[in-house]
Amino acid sequence: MSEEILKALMQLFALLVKQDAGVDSTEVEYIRNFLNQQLTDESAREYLLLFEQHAGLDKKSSQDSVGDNSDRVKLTSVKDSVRILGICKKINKTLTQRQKVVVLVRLFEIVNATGKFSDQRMAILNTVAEVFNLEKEEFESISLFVTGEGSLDLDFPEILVIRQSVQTSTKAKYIHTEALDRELVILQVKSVDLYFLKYTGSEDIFLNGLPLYARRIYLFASGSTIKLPKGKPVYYSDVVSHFLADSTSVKVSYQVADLNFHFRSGTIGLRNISFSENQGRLVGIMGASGSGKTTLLNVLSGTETPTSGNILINGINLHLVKDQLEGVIGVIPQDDLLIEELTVFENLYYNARLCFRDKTDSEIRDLVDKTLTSLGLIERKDLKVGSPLNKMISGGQRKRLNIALELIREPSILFVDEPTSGLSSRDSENVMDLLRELALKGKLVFVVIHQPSSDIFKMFDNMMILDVGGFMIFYGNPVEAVMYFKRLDQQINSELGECPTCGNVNPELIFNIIEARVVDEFGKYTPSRKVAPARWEQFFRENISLAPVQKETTSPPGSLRIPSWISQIKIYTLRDFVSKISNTQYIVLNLLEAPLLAFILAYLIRYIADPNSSIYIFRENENIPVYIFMSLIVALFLGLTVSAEEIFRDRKILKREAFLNLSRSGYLVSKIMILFTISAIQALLFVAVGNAIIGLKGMNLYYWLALFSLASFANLLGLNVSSAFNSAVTIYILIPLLLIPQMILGGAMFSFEKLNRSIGSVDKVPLVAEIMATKWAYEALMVKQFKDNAFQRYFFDIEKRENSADFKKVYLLPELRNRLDECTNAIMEGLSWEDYTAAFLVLRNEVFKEQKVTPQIVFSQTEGLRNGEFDIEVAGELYEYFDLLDQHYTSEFEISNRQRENIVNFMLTEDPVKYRYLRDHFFNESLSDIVKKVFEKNKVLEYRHELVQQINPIYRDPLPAGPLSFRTHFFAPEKHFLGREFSTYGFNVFFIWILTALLYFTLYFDLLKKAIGFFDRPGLNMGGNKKPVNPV
Amino acid sequence: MLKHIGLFSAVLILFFSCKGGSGGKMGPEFDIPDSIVYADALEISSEVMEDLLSNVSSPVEMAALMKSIGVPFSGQVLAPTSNIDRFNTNFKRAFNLGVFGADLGYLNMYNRTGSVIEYITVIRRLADGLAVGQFFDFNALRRLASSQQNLDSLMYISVHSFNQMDNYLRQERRGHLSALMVTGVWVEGLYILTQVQKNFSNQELAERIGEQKIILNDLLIILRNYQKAYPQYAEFADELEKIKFTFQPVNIRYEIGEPEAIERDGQLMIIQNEKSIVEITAEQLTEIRNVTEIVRNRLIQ
Repeated sequence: MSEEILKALMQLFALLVKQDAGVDSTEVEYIRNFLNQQLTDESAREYLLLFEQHAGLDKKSSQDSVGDNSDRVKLTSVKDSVRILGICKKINKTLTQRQKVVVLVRLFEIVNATGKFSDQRMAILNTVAEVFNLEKEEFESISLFVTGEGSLDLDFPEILVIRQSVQTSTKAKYIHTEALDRELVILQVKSVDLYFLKYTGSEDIFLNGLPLYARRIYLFASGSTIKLPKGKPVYYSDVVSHFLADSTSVKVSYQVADLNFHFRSGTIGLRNISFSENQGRLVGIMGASGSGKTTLLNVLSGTETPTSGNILINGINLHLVKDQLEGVIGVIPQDDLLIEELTVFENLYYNARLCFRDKTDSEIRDLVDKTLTSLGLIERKDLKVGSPLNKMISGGQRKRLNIALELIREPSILFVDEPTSGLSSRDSENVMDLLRELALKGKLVFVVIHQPSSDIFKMFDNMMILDVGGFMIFYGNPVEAVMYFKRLDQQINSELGECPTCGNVNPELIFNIIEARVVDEFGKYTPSRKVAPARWEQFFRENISLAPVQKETTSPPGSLRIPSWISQIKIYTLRDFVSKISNTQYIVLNLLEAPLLAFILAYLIRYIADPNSSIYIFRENENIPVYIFMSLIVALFLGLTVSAEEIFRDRKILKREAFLNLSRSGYLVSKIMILFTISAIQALLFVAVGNAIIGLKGMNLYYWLALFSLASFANLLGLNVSSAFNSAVTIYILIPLLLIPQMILGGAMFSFEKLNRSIGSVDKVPLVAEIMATKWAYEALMVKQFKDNAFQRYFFDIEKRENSADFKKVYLLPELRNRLDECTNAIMEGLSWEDYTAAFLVLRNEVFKEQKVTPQIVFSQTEGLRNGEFDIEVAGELYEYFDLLDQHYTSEFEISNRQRENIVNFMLTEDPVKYRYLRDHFFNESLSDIVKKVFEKNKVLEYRHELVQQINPIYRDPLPAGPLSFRTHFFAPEKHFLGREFSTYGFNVFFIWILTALLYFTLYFDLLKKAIGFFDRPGLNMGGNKKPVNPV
Repeated sequence: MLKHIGLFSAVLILFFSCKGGSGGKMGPEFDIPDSIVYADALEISSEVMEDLLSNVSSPVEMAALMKSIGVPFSGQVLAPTSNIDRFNTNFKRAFNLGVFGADLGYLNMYNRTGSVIEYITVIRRLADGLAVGQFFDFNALRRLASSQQNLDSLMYISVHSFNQMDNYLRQERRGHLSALMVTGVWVEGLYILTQVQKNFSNQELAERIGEQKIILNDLLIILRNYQKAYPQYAEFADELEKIKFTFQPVNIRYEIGEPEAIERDGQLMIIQNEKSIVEITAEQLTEIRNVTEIVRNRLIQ
């Protein structure tokens, strides 16, 4: 209490008591007592002097007043009235409503000390109450409480009576006790949530270890205990619960029986935990580090399943019948669950929308505003939450907001993990007040608490103390706990729970006793404890029996009505969108990155081949294939970086949302939609800038779709990674591991034919490369660019016919004739079958293939060949057949060659400028060289008894082995699947989406994480912050 | 899970349905009538021409002559390779293949391996364009050229490759291209000879130039034969007629010499030696040189 207030109080007291009859000695005595309680002797005397001055008790005025006491005017002087008003207004400005109520009660008390309730005095009290804005009813109940004698006077709902005899009053509440001469009366001042206590008898009764004087009014603060001569002590929570009994309708019973929990590593986390609670209690869980507090909380909240034992909530098994208890339980973990980019309001708003399906938007906004107001956060509602490092709101506000996330849906049972860690004592108290209030509203609140201050410690209705190894060594009233352990430790003053002068409790004391270590002969502490945890548990079982609770059977009300899948996606998407858009840096970087990279890439490689010219000719730019490949790598990079941290960053929020039974797929789909949108925009910007600079015309849409598809694939890849790994560093280390194979096996850097034999393949793209999205995208764009550019499209089909006929005639048929010669010679010379099997098999296979491709030229001996029948006669037929084929392909070549020539001639005569324009700006030589493989040395190779064309892959139609075989050689002009023909571009892009879809499924089932978990056994799961526990 | 599949396929369908939309066909287009594409070629029996063509002296022969006389190498006479991009039609390709072939022979003979690779590359591009690249062993040639040895092999392979291409084209009923190729070799050969002769006056060179009168006549007969089927040939032949005109004053006489008896395959044979005498003046040579230069430069554009 400040000096000023004390002065004001003294004046107020003085003005009050000097009315009518004047100051009584009992009143002076009362003031002296009051001051002595608050101050040191010296300053008490000082203030008493002040009081006497104002009351007119100083020497001079006392002499005056002695004589004419009775002649005094019976009215309060105007001067005094004005002074009273002045003082009250002053008090109004500085004191809280609770303090003002205390002042008023003190005023009543001083009047009551003499019992002189004159009109003047009552008038002054009335004025004070009015200025203090106290409600009429409460003023009257205070008045009755102070003046009333027995329970008969005090029969109204704000009163609780503790006495021996049976209840007689009808409205007042009642607590039974043994052997008490008179009554203890407690008054509730509801508006400020204060309780006052008075005792009318003369037995030794202790409030928090201090004796109670009869007829004095005591503030019954939270955490207080009344020690009675006989019988159980009365706790603050008992009293409060009586007052709250009729205000809460939800009944909850929470029964824990023989809970045991073993970690997967085999260590024991919890042993034989049993207790029960009803609604409206605030239960603390304390213990040394490693004693299993958080484990217990996880088991109690249902996130972990106990090894044995069960938890019944209103008779329903928490771990077996989870769905019946949906929404009953709320958990506030130690971690921050806030989205840093969102404001205080938005954080709570989106959370609320995910919890309440049946509330309208305005209802939710109102609810959020209301909650924020009640948490004192309403003024901060539009501030961004910010990261713990870049603080926008204080730690306490952060914590309160975290609590608000669960608070807003008001679950019946709430579990809170270390809500005060890292907070200032003021913030801690605010947060704990909030939780206590919840308990008072009828919720059952469990709080894991570490090193609580005295005030916080006393707030708890019950305190559970765990010891290392998961032993429960105490359960009961917190102040009791101190006494209990002091008693066991045989300390003096073990009956004093709190400091007799300041009322403080030192919870540390408990742990000092529990963990006291043995001292060796040199006076040094040894590592071994005086009393082992198991022994403490034994003490607990021997000394304390837990009171049974009211068992409830009505099913508890769930407070969770989660929205439909689609609505969840909407909310998630909106939330993600708002949080992303609010991060200007993120948006600007993401939007600028792609066009900037496109500019750098395209500008640097915009190369003019002719050293004497300054005109850029697309056709001559040798960098176009590299440009295409680099664009894909950029898309892959952008897609991966934009997504690689997404889920990882949200993992705590995800855990919570999983707890709320929100749909994981909803979350993922919303995330994917946002990422796809970003990727689509990035791809668009990249293509628009890059293709414009490099002079790549007429294909923007195809480039965009290919880049976008690849970026989407990378998005999913990134999401998979970000969901599976638990640190940002790991994720970024992993990115090269994902990207480099995509580069190596993309088809642009290394030829697929020239890879290590164990994976390389002559006739098809190697299997490992088939799962590389870059390969599909690169092939799609290269083939598309070559086939369908505005110049080549006039020629592609003709050239394809021309080139395949040419290949057959020039390379294939001579090879076949050679083999036929070999076989024929072998037969002529009478060599054995083995000597020419290889040659024969090639012949056979190739003839079969040829029959499929050119059925119009018939070979009559196909059946014979199939059965391996081969003789000179067949050989002769084959020679003839090859000659026919030769003729066929010669004419085929001639026709298509002439057609091409005709077109070119036509173009050149029609409009040579246009012809040159098309050729220079749409066709690219270096790209054409690559897809035609002009530098290939081996034109045809024998591979597995087949002849495989190595040149002109772009003109070589793949021959599908079956309806399902979709694999082809690289740069195939088209693809086959299920007997249908698809354009390479369309098929490849579709395939990238198939890969993307596959990644979605691995993401949905978190397969990567499971795979890692499989190899990463020793970790004790659960967020990874668990230390192994050694049982003592 | 079903709804996810549904969503994914919806997204996919969305993407692929808008795929067909814009083909992004920018810039000008050609509308090519079918009649043009499927126009037929005229078949020409070319057996007679084959004989004529084989009379064209190979570039190597010419170069060997120059070298033996002691004519120094001159890089300026070579056709520039930078024009390669303009050779879009088979007609142009075939003719220039011949031109570069002559240049390659000249380079080879003078052992200018540095430039050889450049010419091999160009020749290969043209050969590929005509689908006769298979006869041109690029890698072997490049290897030989860069090793600076095996000059004979290099020469042999070059000549052999050209002969194969020539044969193949004729076999494949593309004799018209073969004719162009041979003409190319001839034009470039003549050009080099005349240019060299400008600074290095030599009787043998002059005579050799004069002899070309006969070959040119043969070539023109062949080319005129194709002009009905391929209109470009007419234009082309007209150009060559300009050169032929400059050869008009050149007089070639044949003198019958003494008969000679030689033994061949174990039999005695009597051969009537015949000697051609070329009468050509310096003015005529200058005229031939100038016209050849103009025609050649126009044709290699």
